[in-house]
Amino acid sequence: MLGRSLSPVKLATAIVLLGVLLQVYVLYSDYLSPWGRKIWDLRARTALERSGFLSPWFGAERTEFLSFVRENTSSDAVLLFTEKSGPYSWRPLLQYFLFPRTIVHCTDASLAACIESDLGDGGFVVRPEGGPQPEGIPLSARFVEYRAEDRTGLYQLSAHSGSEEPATGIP
Amino acid sequence: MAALSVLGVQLARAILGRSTWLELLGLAYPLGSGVLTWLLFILSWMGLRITALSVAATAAFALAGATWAAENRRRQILQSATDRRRVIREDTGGSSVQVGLGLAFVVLMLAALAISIGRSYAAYDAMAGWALKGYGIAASGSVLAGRSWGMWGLNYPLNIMLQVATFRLFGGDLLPESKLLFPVYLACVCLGIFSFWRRFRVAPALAAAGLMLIATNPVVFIHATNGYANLPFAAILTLGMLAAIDGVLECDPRRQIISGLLLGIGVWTRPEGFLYVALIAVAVAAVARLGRIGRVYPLAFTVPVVGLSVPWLLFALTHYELDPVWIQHGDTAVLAITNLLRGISAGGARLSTLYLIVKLFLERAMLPENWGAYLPVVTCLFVLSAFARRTWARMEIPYLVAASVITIALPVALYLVLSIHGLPDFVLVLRRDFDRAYLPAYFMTNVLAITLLQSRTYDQDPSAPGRPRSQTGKIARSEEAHPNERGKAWG
Repeated sequence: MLGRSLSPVKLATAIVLLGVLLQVYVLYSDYLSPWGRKIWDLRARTALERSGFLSPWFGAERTEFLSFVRENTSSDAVLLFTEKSGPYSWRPLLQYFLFPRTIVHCTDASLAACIESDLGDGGFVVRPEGGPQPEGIPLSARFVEYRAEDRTGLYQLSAHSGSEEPATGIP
Repeated sequence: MAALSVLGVQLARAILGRSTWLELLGLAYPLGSGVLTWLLFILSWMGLRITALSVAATAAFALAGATWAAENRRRQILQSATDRRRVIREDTGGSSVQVGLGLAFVVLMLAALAISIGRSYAAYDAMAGWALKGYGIAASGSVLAGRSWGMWGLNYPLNIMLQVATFRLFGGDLLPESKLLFPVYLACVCLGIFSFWRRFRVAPALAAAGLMLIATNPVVFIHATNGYANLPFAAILTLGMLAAIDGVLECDPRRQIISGLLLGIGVWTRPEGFLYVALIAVAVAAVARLGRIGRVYPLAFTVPVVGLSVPWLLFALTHYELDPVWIQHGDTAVLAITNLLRGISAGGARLSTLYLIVKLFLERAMLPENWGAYLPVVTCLFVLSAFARRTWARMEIPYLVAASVITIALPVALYLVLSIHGLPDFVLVLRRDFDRAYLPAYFMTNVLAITLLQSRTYDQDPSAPGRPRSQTGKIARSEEAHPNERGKAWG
């Protein structure tokens, strides 16, 4: 049995306090300190930008691109993405970052049909990863450039965007 | 947030009568926010548009009603001579250790609030589920908008989403200020647990140290700042279980009403809530009946649980969708519940999977960066309890053991059922998700381990808030109580 001077309650209190000390150390070194530094560095950013910068999937580059999309589209816009994998194919996350815009996904192969059925006048085809211009973009579409070197940006469909005639000569 | 907390305080005052400020603070936000979002859900389902005005009007009506009821209740108590003799005193001890730990707790909570807002919504479920649905509901003015925005369709209860929607409606959620609610749930459950310990005569210093042990755990801290609903759910469930234990031991129907309300809000917070609540209700009734310990007032407990749960369960039944995309993403809660019957009929899960779940959890629990000092400390406390006086003979212990066993066994059982589905990345899902499913068990095992080391009788610790007769091992009859206080009407 434990002695009178070292009761189970006192011993338990000491053990719990030791546990607290260990946890405070772990919490400070593994979480509070690194997170505090990251958050301090991002203190001037908006909540959405901090979401993007601190999430493991988006990072700075994608977050900046989505900010560009938000700035160049109205809040009731319909945005069409053609990515088949990766963060740009995750509709719920795109809904969050581009709220309250409507997000539609479509494959490159059926782009013309998707534009016809899902995008109204003024809708956008979003090209976040660059590459060659997809087939099926109407002639009348206007290209809003994000970065010239890799041709990322937005195709904004005009009033006659329902045309099945493919666009040519758009940068 | 302040308005919702005041609503919770007034509801608790109206139901409990007198209480300690610690207890009221612990109940305030979970109770107030849960009741308000449930009212908004019902009104929206009936066709009322959710706007800043309708939310403010609903909150104002609820607050006025709760305040009126609380004042009536206060007057009743003042008229009762017996109640005047039972002045509940609260005492946090006042020793330097306790004051120091109390200050540390406040600093920790402030840090959690700052980190939570600073991180914004950066975890997948937080962005794609809880926050986005709240924004969608706020924008469209209807809970049905939850189907179009984010994951899960309308399969998940809407308590947290409607809280986020409320923040969005009133301030735009620019910080985002809705992230405040997650650390607040942690603070509430810590205060509730501390209050429970003090009511059951745990030494003040040990209770204060236990409070800090719970709050500084890395997994708990992460979930207080990442925007998932698991910590709020675990907090509500824990507060509900503790109120149930306290209410049954005191033969107090009013405390059982509080428990029923909280557990009903638990069902209204996460989909697995109804499983927990059903098992807890059965366990509490069984311990009370078989052990002849305390008294259950079935109506006091079930009316609020059923009242809060059934509308949501009916809504969920009529709006439930199973989307193959969610299956691919390993949506554990929905999958586990969907496959429960299928799994049982298929002959159950293999023992090797049970071994895998336990092994992986123990591996993670032994790493300080995950579960901190939880496992070693709780193990030491259980060992020490063998040396404490009359530990296992006390009335609250069988209830706490039953609650701990349920909260440990249920997530294990859910993951066993999930394993039947044959997810190719089951181990990954287990590593990623089991910690948060274990949070209710984390709280309850800590509560049990420290309550076991209660060594004071009422005479030795008169400073603690009063609990009549419950230390004697006999049923706490209510010879002192005002007739209005004891629930002949509650079954």
